[in-house]
Amino acid sequence: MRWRSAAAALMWVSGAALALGTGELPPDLVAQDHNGTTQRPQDYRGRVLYIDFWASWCAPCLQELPALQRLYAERAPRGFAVLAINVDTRRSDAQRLLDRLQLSFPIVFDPDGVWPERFALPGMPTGYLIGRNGRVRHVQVGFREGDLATLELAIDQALEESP
Amino acid sequence: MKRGILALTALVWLAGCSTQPVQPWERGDLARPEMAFEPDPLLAGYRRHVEFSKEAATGGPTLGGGGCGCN
Repeated sequence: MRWRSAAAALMWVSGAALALGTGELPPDLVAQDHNGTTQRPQDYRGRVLYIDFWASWCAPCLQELPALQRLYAERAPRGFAVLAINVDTRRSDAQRLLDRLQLSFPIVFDPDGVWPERFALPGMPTGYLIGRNGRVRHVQVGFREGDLATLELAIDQALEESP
Repeated sequence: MKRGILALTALVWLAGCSTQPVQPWERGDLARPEMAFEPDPLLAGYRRHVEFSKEAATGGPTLGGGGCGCN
């Protein structure tokens, strides 16, 4: 019987972490952004938050970030927030891109991959749209120009809902 | 008891494989130019030219036909 428990525990430990899905609560993580402000997804409750994981080496991210900046600029007054998590191991790589893109939403640098590991990212980029109730409403894996309309619709629907 | 130890050893051995894949967010280092088989495009082009000139029948890695071996 003890062997069975040990085997079950081993399988549980060795198995891949389950990716975060719709309806779930995001992991409780805290980090400082590029301005030194403490960022915690739970603090955005009551607003619509898009957590985006990106890297300078990820080609679709270069397409996605300017689109996110536009969505953020247009919808921030209605309660839309973006939190971008950079997973570059060298901050200089990320900074070079940021200098070019001029993004106004907070950026968290996570070279050790703590945040993506807790979210169990299925790919790069991945974005999590979190509703006013603090639960995941939409998961955007990868990014193509055609995905923008779906994402915009999901954001607008989330903004229309009351907390 | 012995069978249990054997089964657990096998399980540990198998479980070890599950920790191997590079996660999506860890691919940055693999994407660096210096990680490419041939990081210098000019040198790579030169090597391809020598290769398909010498291997006349194969036509190099991206060409459909053969070559005369004279170029």
